[in-house]
Amino acid sequence: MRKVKSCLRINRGNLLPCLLFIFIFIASVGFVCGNYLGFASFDAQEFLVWEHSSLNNVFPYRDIFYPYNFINYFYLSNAFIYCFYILISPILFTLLYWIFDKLFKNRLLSIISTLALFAYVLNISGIYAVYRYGIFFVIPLLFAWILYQFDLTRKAYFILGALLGLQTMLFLEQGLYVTFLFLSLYFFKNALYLKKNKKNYRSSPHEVIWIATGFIVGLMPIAVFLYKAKALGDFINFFVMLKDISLLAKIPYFVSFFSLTNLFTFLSLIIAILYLSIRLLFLNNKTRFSSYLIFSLIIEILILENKSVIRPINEQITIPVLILIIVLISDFRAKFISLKAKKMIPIVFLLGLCFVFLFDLKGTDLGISGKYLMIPRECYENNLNNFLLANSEYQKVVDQLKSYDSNAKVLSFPGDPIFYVLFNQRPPYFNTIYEASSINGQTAMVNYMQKNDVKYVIVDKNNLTIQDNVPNYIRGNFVLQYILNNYSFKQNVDNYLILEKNTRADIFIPINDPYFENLLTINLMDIPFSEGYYKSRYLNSSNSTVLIRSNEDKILNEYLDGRTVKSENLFLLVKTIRKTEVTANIKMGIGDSLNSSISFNACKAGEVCVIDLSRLPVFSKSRILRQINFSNVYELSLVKVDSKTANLFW
Amino acid sequence: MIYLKSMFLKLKKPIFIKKVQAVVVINFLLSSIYIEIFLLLSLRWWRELFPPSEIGNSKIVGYSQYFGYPFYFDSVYLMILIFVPIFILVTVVYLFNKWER
Repeated sequence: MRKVKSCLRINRGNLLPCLLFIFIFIASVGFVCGNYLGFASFDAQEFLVWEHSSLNNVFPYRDIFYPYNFINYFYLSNAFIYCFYILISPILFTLLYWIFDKLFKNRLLSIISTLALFAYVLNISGIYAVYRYGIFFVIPLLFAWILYQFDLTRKAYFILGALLGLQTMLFLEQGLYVTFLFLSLYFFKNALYLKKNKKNYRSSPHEVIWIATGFIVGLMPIAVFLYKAKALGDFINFFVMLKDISLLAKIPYFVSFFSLTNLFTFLSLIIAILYLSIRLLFLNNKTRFSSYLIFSLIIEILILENKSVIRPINEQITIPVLILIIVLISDFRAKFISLKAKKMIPIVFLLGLCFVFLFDLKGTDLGISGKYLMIPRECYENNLNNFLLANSEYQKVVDQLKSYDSNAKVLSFPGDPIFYVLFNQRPPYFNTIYEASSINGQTAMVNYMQKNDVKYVIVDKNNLTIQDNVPNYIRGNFVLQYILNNYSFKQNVDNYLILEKNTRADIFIPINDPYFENLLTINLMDIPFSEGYYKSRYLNSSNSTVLIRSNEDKILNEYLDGRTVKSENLFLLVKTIRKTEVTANIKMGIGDSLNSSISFNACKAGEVCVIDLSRLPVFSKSRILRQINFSNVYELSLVKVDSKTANLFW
Repeated sequence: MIYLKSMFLKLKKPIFIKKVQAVVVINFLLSSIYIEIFLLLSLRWWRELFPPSEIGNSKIVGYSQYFGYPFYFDSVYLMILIFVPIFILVTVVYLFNKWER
């Protein structure tokens, strides 16, 4: 502890980090209030809704789905959290300087490296990355130093465990990653000790128990706070939903794999792992602080790369990659070119200064920064104004709707949550169909419409898919069916359709807008294959009846001609006889003179694809199937299934 | 005989390896590049070897269900891409160390 105290004591040597702290505070405070948002971006809406909700006493996890942490949610509405929030960037960069100083043992190099990194963050990756992942980038490096430098007592492990628990509750997934990294570093330290002192190695289960006990104690304060706010159950449930979100948010990874930033990360990672492996496996040197840092950064980057597999965060990952490169350079400098180090300092100094001159000074407007510092609400209002300037069409829709009924409640489909802000309306638990895709999510959305007597639905015509190319009619068919059955066409405003509550009308008759025609042509991709692969075994003679089976559409149409075959609980089983095409196409003639066509990835020969017709938008109302056309390489079966079995399918 | 001196390996003295050994090393190094290229080019083929992603009772349909490959496939594939060259290069270093002795 004495060593720690001596490190923290303020003396003349600490003047430089103090100046650095003040400089980074001034340079980054302008970005605190959301200047990081690209106001034309779709995602900016979500941030504005959360800011609006936070300022209007909507509690996260309990009243609204919020995928981030408390600090990010409450920073505009709570003065104490706001003070902490604006200090995140300067604290983290000063800590980083301190770590570099321990590594380089050279203040000039440390300050230049820190400033160069800050310049990179400000200009290239975006300062938002620091508020989003900064804790995860820097705190494990601090733990690396603590574990490298000290042989900790049980009491110290307990305190560290408690801190880990507290920060896990405060920073959620970032906190969990930090905890995982601390444990990884702890076992890394033990593994190195085992390698050196094979005979004298003592396993330390007690230390792990002290960490775990401290961790549980650290969870308590926020758990009690949540319990008092009646949000503890919702908070626990949030983690279950987070698992679903990762499933929904998955987008194709290998498309972004070949981006320049990702290739840079990928190569740096391989070099670092290789370097560390060789150093630890083949070179019997004394373990250095840099080994702990490299190990910690490798795990950080591997975790972030896996996160990037779900949603690309390539630019943000480059921040720990650059820290890793700085650590590697320091290691090479100390190991191989120590004699030339003095000559290198001026060059690095000049390069660093070049970076510093590249600073974007827009965010350092002291007038704006001061205003934000005094009145956090100004941030939200400024963000909203900027967003509306970049997206004027939203205000047009609002004005039009207010001319009908100034107090009417609205729902946005598939999800332009900014409308809830503009109508000053409490948003549904899930803002977009993207978040509400689970059956519970969709039910919550329908309940919201019923409970609030939503009079108008605003449909974004251009937004046929949200974020990942999975169509909305696939993702949220339950909500879509509710809308199609209970609302009718009212008016077009730019790219938006306004639907008014009307339970009697049929939205497909007449078709008032090309948007509805899109709903009649459906590409189900792999869904029929997946449904057939996993669930065709559920269909048997006791719960389903085969109406007709044939590989000729003529025979099927003769059957349909003489009968009334309703779409309710009607399944189409498509068995591939010969696989001659990648995509299977089926055209259907439906009662009320409607036509619809389905395409999907054809199953392999001998396999069965399954389609639940009542899930298709055109069959949101029960309709009569009149005609069906398909290629004779498939054998089609029309099957009536009982409701219980039908619910097992998509 | 080929003269080798490596700063990175920090050899105590320069070592001489036979041509056959050099060929082995070069082939090892090249094979890591070939394997990476093969893995990247055969991505789609590997994907299709696996069954499609299941759509659960809660009807969650995301990218992996719609486009039909396992959710964790990309993560596992990425790890293989990262660790294959490392494994090969560590083997090469091991061979150098062995020859040095």
